Order: sequence, then C-alpha cells, then structure tokens
Amino acid sequence: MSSLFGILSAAGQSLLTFQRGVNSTNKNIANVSTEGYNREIPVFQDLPRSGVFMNKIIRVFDQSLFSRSIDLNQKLNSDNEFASGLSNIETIFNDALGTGFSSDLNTFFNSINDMLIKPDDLAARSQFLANAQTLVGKIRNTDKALEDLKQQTVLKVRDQINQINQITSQLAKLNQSIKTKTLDIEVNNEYLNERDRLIKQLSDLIDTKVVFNEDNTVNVFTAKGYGLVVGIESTQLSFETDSNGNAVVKWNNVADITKEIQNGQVGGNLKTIDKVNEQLNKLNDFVTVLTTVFNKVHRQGYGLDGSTNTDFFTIDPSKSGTKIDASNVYINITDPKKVALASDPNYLNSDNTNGKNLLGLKNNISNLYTSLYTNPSQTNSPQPVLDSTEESDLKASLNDPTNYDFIKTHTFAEFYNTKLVAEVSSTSSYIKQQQQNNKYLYDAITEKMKSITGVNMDEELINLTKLQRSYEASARIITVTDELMQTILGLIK
Amino acid sequence: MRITDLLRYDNYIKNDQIRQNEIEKYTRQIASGKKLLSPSDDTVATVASLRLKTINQDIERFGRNMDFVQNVLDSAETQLDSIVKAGQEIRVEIIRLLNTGVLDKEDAKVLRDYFVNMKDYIIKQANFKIGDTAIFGGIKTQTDPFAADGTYQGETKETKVPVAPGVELNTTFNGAVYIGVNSLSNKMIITEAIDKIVDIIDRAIAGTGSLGELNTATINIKKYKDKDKDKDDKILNVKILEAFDIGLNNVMQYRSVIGTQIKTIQDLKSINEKNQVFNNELISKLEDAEAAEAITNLQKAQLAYQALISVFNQNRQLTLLNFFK
Repeated sequence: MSSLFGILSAAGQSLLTFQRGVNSTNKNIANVSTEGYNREIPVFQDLPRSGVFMNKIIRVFDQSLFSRSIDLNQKLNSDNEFASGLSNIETIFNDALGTGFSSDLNTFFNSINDMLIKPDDLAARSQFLANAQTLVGKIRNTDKALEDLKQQTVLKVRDQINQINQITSQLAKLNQSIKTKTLDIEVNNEYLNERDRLIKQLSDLIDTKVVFNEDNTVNVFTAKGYGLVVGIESTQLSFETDSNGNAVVKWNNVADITKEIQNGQVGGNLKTIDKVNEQLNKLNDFVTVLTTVFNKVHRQGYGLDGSTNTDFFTIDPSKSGTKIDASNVYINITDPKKVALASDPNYLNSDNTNGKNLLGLKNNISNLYTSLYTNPSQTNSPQPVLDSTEESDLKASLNDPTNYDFIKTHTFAEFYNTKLVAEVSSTSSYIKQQQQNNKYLYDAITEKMKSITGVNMDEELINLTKLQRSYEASARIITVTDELMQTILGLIK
Repeated sequence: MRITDLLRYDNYIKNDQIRQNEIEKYTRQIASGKKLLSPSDDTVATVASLRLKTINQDIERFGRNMDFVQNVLDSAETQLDSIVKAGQEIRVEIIRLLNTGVLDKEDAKVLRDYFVNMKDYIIKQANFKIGDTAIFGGIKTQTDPFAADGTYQGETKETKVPVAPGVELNTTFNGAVYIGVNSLSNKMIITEAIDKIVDIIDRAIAGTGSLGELNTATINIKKYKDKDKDKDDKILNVKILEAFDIGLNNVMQYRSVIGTQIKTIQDLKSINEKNQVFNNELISKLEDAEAAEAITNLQKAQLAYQALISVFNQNRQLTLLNFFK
C-alpha cells in the first residue's frame, strides 16, 4: 500500500524520467541533419510498485546494412579516383579538343611531300623542320603531363596513407573508450556514432573489412587480411617511393601491400599510377621506334650540302639517357640543308629517293618505300628498313617488344589511335560505367540505412508532445498529492 | 519506407546534381559544337574520326602534290606539243624538198637556214625550265638536257612524287625517251635527221655532193629502251624522212602519255575531293553535336531542374513546426 510520500516519490521519478526522454528527443532534433547520426529511442518501463523509469536508450543501427555500405563505399571511392585519374589521362590525349599529337604526327610525315616535289626548296625543308619541332614539342609535353600526373597521384597516396594512420589510431583509442564506458548509455552511443563515422572515413580511403565484437569494439582489416586495428592496438602503414617514383605502401614497415590494395581512394590512385606508367611505357616505345627507324633511313641519305650519315633525332643534350624516348627526344639538325632527301650524291638538289623512303615510314616500317613502289615493273626484292640484328636490338630496348611488332604490322598513327587513345578511353568508359553502378548500389544502401537510422522531425515533434503531456500529467499528480497533503495537514489544526 | 529529413534533403541534392550535370553537358555540347567531349564518351567514334582525319590530311597533302605535278605535266605537254607542231611544219618542208627533185642551190640554201633555225627552236623547247629546273633532263635538272647539236646530256633517272597511295607521277622526265634520242649517236632523232639534210645541202652547195642524196641517204637508229612501254630496241637503217617520222612519232606518243598522266591526276583529284567530302560528313556525324537535339535535351534538363526546385520549394514548408506555438 502506497503512502502519499510514495506517490510523490513516484511522480518525482516520472518527472525525471520524462526529462531524460525530452533530452533524448532534443538530441535527435538537434542532429536532424548530422551525417552519420543514429537516432535514439528512449525505452520507458514501468517500475514495479512505483512509476516509470528509462530502461535504456536504443541507438537505431543495422549492422548488415552498415557492413554492405562500407563494402560498396570503398569500391565506389576507388572508382571515383580511378575514373578521375583516367579522365586526366584522356585530357592529355583528347585530339578533338586540341591536345594529343595525332595530327602533328601526320603533318610531320606529310610535310615530307612538299620537299619531294622540289628537294632543293629550302622553304619546304625549313617548314618540315618546324613541323618536326612541333611534333617533338608535343611529345615532350605529353610525357611531362603524364609524369606530372603520376607525381601528383603519388603525393596524394602519401597524404592518404597519413590520414589512414590517423584514423586507425583514433579507432584504437575509441575501442578503449567503448570498452571502459559501457555503463553510460548516452555517452557510449556517441562513441559508437563516432566509431561508425571513422570506419566510413577509412573505407573512403582503403580496403576496409570490419569485424564487430560483442563489447561493441571493432577490429578493422585491410586487403588480404592485414590488421589495421585489432582491439586497442593499431598498426601503421608506411609510404615510400621506389627508384621509378612509384608509390610503395608497407604494412607495419614490413609487408609490401601495394599490389593488394584495390579499393578506396588509395586503391584508385594506385591503379591510376599503374595506368600512367603503362601509358608512359607505350609513349616511350612509340618514340624509340619512330626515332630509330627514321634515323636509320635518314643516315642513308644525303643532305643538300652533301652531308650524310646524320641522325635526324637525338637525345636532348640537357637530358641524360642511353636511348631516345619521349622525355629526351630532340631534333639533331637545325640546318634545313642537312635533311637527307637524296640517295644519289651526284644529284643532291633533284633526287628525292631517300625522302620517299622517309615518307614511306609513315605507312610501313618493314621495308623501304622505294624498294616496293617506285618502279613496279622492276622486280626488286623488298629491302628491309632494319636488319635482323638492329631489329632485335631495338626490341630488346623497348618496354614491351610487341609494341614494335604492332607498329610494324600497322602504322605509327594506328599505334597512337589504338594503343594510346582507345585503350585508355575504353578502360575509362568501363570504369565510369562501373562507378555509376556502384554509385546506384551505394545510394540505395545508404538510403535504406538512413531511412532506418535517420531522424524524422514530425516523429520527434509528436514524441515531444507525448513526453510533454506525460510530464505535465506527472506534475499534476504532484500538485494533487500536495493538495491531499494540505488537506491531511489541515485536519490537525 | 520511413522518410527521414536527411533523406529528403539528400534526394534533393542528388537530383539537383544530376540536373545541373545534364545542363552543363548540353551547354558544353552546344558551346563547343562537339558531341564527344572526351574520348571515353565513345571510344569507337573517337578512333574512327581520328583515322578519317588522318586520311583527309593525306588527301590534302596529295592534293598539293597533284597541283604541282599537274603544273609540271601541263608545261611538259605544251612543250612537246610545240615540238610536234614545229616537227609537222618541218616535215612539210622535207617532203617538198624530196618531191621537187630539181631545186636550185639558192632555194636549197633558204631551206637549209630554215631547218637550222627550226632545229634550234626544237632544242630550246626541249631545254624548257620551270624556275631553274629543267624538266626533260631526268634527275639532272641544273644543266640543259640537250646541247646545241642535239646531244642528250641529261639523266635517264627521273624524279617522281607520290600523288596517291602507290601512284607516282613525274616532275622531271627522261628526255632520251620523251623527246626521242638515238642511242647510237645520243642525239635527238628529229635534229639528227635535220642535221643530215643540212649536211647534204651544204655539200651540194659546196659541190662535193648532190641533193639527190636526200632520197638515198640513210640513218641508223636505235631508240632508247623504255622499260615500261617500248620493247623495240632493234637497230633500224632508215631513210631520212622515215627517221624524222620515227622521231616525230615518238614525241607525239609521249605527248599522249603525259596527257594520260594529266587525266589520271584529274580523275584522282575528283575521287579525292568526293572522298574528302564523305569523310568530313562522317567525322561530323561522329563528333559534332546535333544542335537541335542538344538544344531539346537542354530544354528538357532545364524543365526538370525547374520542376525540382519548385517541388523543393513547396515541400520544405510542410512541417509540423508551423503548428507549434
């Protein structure tokens, strides 16, 4: 049987409970637009032989949806970075909008035609040298743009590794806090929100796999199961560059996990670096083959001044290197008279045979043009541009010997179109597509997650009204009880 | 589904981005006139249009070669034509000389001077130069192809330039073949016949010979072998008129060869021009934005964007807060 004081005590207890309830609603309303906030639901329970008390505050959270969103998020971020990297490469080879060197390559070869008509025309020779200069300039610019892109991407990876290390050490600390403060429900919920936000941030950056423990702490692993946070310990990643300026990521300073990282921004950037390297290798091979065969044919001819055995392309004196590539290609001759158009030293100003051989390289680097076309009735055997030793030396010097075979069976222009433009562009369009798909999936999952965990203002306002009314009711009980007490006390007078 | 406030705003932001991207895309298409803003928009179309552009550049270059070559061929044809005309006039005089039978020495002397003048004229025509380049000396362009006595001092090798893939045409000609040179004496056949006539007249005037030799004298002729066209390399022992005719026919024959080459160029030119137009059409189809389509798409995107903004504007006022006093 309860006393008046018992009623007062129960009503007081109710007031306090509803205050906490209002506070919880207040927190929800305050965080209506906070990303990563999981709404709280206060659970009231009746107190045996008394009023009401707040049993717990549920933090609305769906672990399986969260895990899936983390999984998609890392893929999406990788796609985002990779797609942006590829689009940067594409910009370098976008002939339609003025970058790239497709038309310069063609102009370079075609301007040989003007010299063929009149081999002693110095204006045509100068124009040819100017066109060669333009082509070399464009190639060098393309090379520099790719190198810059690579460097920027490598620096990005370095910064991202630093961020990862910060996040994992924070997570380790959070794990500790979560472990020690399990009794304070409200604070603990805040820790859990923070924990999820950090995991999401980590998955923005790198492959992330989360294992939830019973005590609400998490263990976080990256690609191939390398642990980043286990219990209250975090393991740092380190960043280095190798001799070619490529990024190397090591786990705990020991294991090289560069090749294992596929997802997150770091994964996307590492893929971009690989693609840039691939593109640089192809560009370098292209230049090496072009300059080797052009020099070979050029050396065989005679300039207007009788000079012979002159290389047309060489290594930029200000650069180092043992072979000509996109970073050091340079025009060896400045005097237009030295362009070796003649094959017959007796007719330097009218013989254009070697010029035709130079022009012929545009479409065929296997055999000399004049041994194939000039005299169709003559049964000349085709004369190869490079002999077998020169050919195997050239192939050995390339990053990929099949690049020479490709140019040999096709043309320089086709190599440019297919290998330098089409391959990047088709990868790019595939990645864009994949990015789009992952984005739809990720959006769908986060939408689902937000619909469960997010705050709806109307709901909260109704809850608030409910709690307000309950609070008012409890307060009313106190007033009534007080009046009862007054009545009782009045009897004594 | 439970709709949370954040979700609603996220949705607006997401769709707003989509619409703005669309507007940006179509605006860029209209502004740049290009449909392919980056190669990955359509890899196949990008590469196809690169290839077509290369072909068009080639056609343009070949076109310039053709203009130059046609100029050379036209000049060469004109020169050969004037040699033929002069040759035909000379031939009339030779026949007159042969038929008359009895010519006094004075008449013969007049004809002799005429023949000598015509010979100089023909040699001058054969030594024609464009700028400083002789065209009938083969590759040897800096000296006169024919000496004053009709001896060929040019080269047999010619300068040719490509005017289409696999097609090369001359910018200098082997005078030995085109003008007709007797490989036994290395002299122009026409002028050699004239020389012979002049020689007979001179000797008749001097009293050491007779004009009757004009009908009996013979010349040994062996034409230069043109590997492509003429298989006849026998030594012919022919009378003067016949020799002259062989020389004249040779020039006429090669005038028509040049005529054929000019025809080839004209045919190629018209084919190339057509091809270039077709290629340009295709490049434009692959690369260029269809203005009407892009504008319609832009308007659609604008409409959707406006609708989104207006919906957002209306919905944002729907909240219970308005009723809390």
